[in-house]
Amino acid sequence: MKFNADEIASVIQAEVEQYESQIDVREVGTVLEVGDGIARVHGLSGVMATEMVEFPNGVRGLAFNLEENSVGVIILGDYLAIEEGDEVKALGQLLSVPVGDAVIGRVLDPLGNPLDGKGPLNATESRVVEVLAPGVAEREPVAEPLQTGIKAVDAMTPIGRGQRELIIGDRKTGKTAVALDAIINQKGSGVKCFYVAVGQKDSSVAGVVQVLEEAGAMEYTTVIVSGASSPAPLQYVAPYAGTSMAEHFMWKGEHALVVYDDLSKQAQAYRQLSLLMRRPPGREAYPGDVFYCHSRLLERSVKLSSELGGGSITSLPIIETLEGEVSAYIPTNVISITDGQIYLQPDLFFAGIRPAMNVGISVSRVGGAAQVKAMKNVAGGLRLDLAAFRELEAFAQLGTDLDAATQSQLDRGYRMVELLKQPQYRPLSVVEQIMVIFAGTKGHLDKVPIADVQRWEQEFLEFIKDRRSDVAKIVDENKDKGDAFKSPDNPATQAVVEALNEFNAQFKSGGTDTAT
Amino acid sequence: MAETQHETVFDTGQQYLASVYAKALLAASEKAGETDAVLDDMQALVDDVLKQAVGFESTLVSPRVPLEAKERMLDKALQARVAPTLLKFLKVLCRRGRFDCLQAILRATRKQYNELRNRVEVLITSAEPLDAAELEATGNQLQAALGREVDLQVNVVPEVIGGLVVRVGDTVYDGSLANRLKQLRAELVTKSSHQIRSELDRFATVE
Repeated sequence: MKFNADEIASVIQAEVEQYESQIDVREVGTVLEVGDGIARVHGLSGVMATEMVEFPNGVRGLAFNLEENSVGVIILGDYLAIEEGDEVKALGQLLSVPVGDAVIGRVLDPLGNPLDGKGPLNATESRVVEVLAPGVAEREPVAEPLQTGIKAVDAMTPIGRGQRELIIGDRKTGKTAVALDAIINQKGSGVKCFYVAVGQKDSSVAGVVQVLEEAGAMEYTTVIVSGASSPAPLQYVAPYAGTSMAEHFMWKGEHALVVYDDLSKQAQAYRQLSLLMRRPPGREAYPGDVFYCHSRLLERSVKLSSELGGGSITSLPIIETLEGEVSAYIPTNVISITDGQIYLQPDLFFAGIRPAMNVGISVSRVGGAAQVKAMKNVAGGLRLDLAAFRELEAFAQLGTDLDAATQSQLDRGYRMVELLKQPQYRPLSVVEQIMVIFAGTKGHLDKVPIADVQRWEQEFLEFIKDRRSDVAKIVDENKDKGDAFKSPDNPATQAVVEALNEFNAQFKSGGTDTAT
Repeated sequence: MAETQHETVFDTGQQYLASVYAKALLAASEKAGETDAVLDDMQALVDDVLKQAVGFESTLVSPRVPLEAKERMLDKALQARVAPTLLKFLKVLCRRGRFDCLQAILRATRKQYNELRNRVEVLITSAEPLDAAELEATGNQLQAALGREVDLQVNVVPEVIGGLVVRVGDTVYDGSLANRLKQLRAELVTKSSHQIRSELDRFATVE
């Protein structure tokens, strides 16, 4: 590429000729001390809470603490270039981020600066980062399902558009994987996805971006990154920035999914800031308003009323627990704020049950209303059945002789557990989920050896796809009808039973072959 | 503001103390009717004496020097040279061991005095020293614009290049050449880069 210097010079000349300067009026203060992402500023007597300020090198900050003689500023950027005595300018604006279609498919920092090397962001609109959540009159009950594509979640803890479903568990239990599957499954549904990475290793974020790109999910996803190396103020702001970007689509009547990965790191960043600002520490040294920090963020996940376009933000906040300790401060806070939680357990994870969801304590408080009707009819009793199975399983380990009924309940349970296992990044459609779970709960798998259940599922779905797509079509047409799968003479039931019988007749269980 | 102490040194305790002493000094000097003289003398004392003779201040601050010696020294040096109220006040400071707060007290007194007289302190920064006529003209204009009497303080900073920077309280009215150049630069960069990005064909040819 060759640049035409004369053309560039002519543009600059035209700008210089048109340039008119006015006297610059600004409210200023002086930096008294700076460090660890915060600055204490003298002056700025008219500055308001959370107003943006600018340091001489162009770095922005937020007025965080307004004290009698000084202003505490959190610095959103490189604080090492700021010196004692520097002039600080109040900008009279609140922090805002670029929004709109331009941010889709990009990797951004919490201020909206691109990090993916794909050139500048050509956004024309921006939105304030901290806004109050819509009020009661502007909302509508959650009624539309948001499919995650994960059998265990969609069957037992269904998520609706506008819901906040917490994903909680120890480190390395597959929390991010659940959220990523949910993002990947939004392909073609028109749901815009936002993945907010707070305080994570940049290498894991790079991995996430790669996974999303390979799955073709970056076409509708924005990744907002504030890694472990970025200053605490940026980590604190990141979830709010991501929500603002999502709100833009919500107010246009579209749907968005926001994943906060994870909010425990954000709470830690907020704790750091608050302690540096000398706000009094409370439990676990978190400041008193750490609950508000999360509640005002998650309250912004809303299903708007149809008069306002009916848009929604669904959020999947992630909390990392230490040694399964859910009664720690931040986990209890976020559990009480959200509309349910998916609880992932390391022992299940290492036993090969992935997603490692503990069915007994995972709940969805509003999603049931939003579940696909056919799924509700098929999987209604699944949660309780599995809980009963867990109890029986513990009892059966004692080696007692069991009667036939109990033994068959156990066998069914083992097969259901096997059936709910699902490999990563392979979300299933609702129709596929309904058929598979129907087969499991109605005993069509009872003759299949436990070791073959996963292969059975895979081959059955292939069979439906290749040979009996008419059955899938019938299920798809009936899935929103209240009586689907309720009675044996329901057309959907009949079609699926027929297909199952046909498939089971030809299914060869390989488990018996290898065993002999 | 800028002239006495390092601008970024910030001692809340000392400031509070200074404001109490300033109130007392102001009340006493108003009663004696010599506030202007007290303020001028105090400023001169800080600028011309304490800054030149460093030992003088440290002697007065030092707890090892007996009080009588300090008072004798003050009498000898300042008697009939400064306003009587100020001399008494300095002795009180010595007696209370607060002589180290003198500069803070001067600033606080000036501030309170300005409030009392409904005056406003204005800091002007220019590239070169202003002469008396220019100062007066600037003062008059500012007075008209602000609707209050102004207490002008002048600061010379060559980096300003030209024009004036006027600071009233925490608000800065920046008409300096340096700032205009900075603004021009920022505008040029954003506008030109935007234009170049939107019409890339006009500026570059692919080879």
